[in-house]
Amino acid sequence: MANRSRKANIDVERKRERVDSVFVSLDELILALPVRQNHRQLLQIHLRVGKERAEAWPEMSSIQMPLLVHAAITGDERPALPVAGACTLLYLGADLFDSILDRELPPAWDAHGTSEASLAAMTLLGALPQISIARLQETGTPPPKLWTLARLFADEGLRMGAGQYEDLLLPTLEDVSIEDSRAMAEHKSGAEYALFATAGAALATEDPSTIEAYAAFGSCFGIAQQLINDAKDIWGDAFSTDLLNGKRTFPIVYALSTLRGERRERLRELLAVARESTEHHDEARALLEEAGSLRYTALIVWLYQQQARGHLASASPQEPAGRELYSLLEQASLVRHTSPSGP
Amino acid sequence: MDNGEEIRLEALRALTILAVHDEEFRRGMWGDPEGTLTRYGFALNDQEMEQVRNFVFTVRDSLDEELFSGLTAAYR
Repeated sequence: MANRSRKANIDVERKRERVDSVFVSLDELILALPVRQNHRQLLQIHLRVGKERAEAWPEMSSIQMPLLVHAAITGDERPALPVAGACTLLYLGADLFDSILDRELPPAWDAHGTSEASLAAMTLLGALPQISIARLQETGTPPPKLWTLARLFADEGLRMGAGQYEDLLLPTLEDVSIEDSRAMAEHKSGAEYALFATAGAALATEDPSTIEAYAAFGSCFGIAQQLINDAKDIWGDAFSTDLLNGKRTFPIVYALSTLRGERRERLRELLAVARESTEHHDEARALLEEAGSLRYTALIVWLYQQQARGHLASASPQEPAGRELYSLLEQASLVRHTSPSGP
Repeated sequence: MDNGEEIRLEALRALTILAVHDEEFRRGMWGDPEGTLTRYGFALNDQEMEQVRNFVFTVRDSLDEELFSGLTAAYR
């Protein structure tokens, strides 16, 4: 027990060190950009937002996953630092665009308008990941591998965009199936996590079966995490941002697919009024619970968490990175004490 | 890795597809997971079945006892 606790403390310390390393390298990258000072400051605003978030939550996947996957294949995480930087820039850009669309910009943006935030998001998402990847040239990464990584970011970025589009589209449709909602989670967060894992793997090895195993691990992990976020948004706070924004997230779609007659109509009414104020959020939550939405979401999260475990096992990760990856995955659950704690 | 602890990937994929697409399967899983899996042609070994049973029963029976870690606590 004491040994396990000591390992856990070491793992937390390592996560914090990775957070520091990635943000130091991103600070340097942004300072070296040939842009006007005000443009640079806009980028630094969201970099600070990201750093504060990562310090509070060092498990941040865009940082941990590429470094740990690289270490799980080669035994060394340091060469993957520019890749983790690229993943974190992409995450921050996508996060900023999300915040703009959902009208939830962090307080750090209070003194700036959405035009400036959009410019920063576009730069973070579109330009800076490639610049971070280009830094691999300094350590002798051959051009074909740089191209593989650049293409990977483009392909997965496109899938993430498709997921965002579905996120906007589903609330406008009369009938949305559970599969539509699952697919949206796969495209949005599945693609994002698949990118984080695959980028670390693609830098580390040429072996397609290893790269595919980590891609599948990331995809399943990301889907589980998206569904957890959907549930947390509804049940984890006094009011739900997704209900306010009229989103058709997984627990909501399940309830609409399961309830019949008057209960279904009542939920539709509640979802409509929940966009106007938080007054009816409790009643909407109660109806979602009555439909079994939370239980069902927990089941699907568990199935994807178990799939991710299987894919990770098939990649035979080296230690101690493998243990840390299992440990990250262990937290992707809505339920306590139901799955084994590691390999 | 002790493979006996893991549910096989192909079984997990099939379970996920059914859980998303088949309402009757979903209902059956909460009431009688073992019977439902057998009816749908799954041949899980004892450890795999034990894992499925543990998860389903934990969720089904503990719903009202603040089962969901750090999630419903703030709301309830």
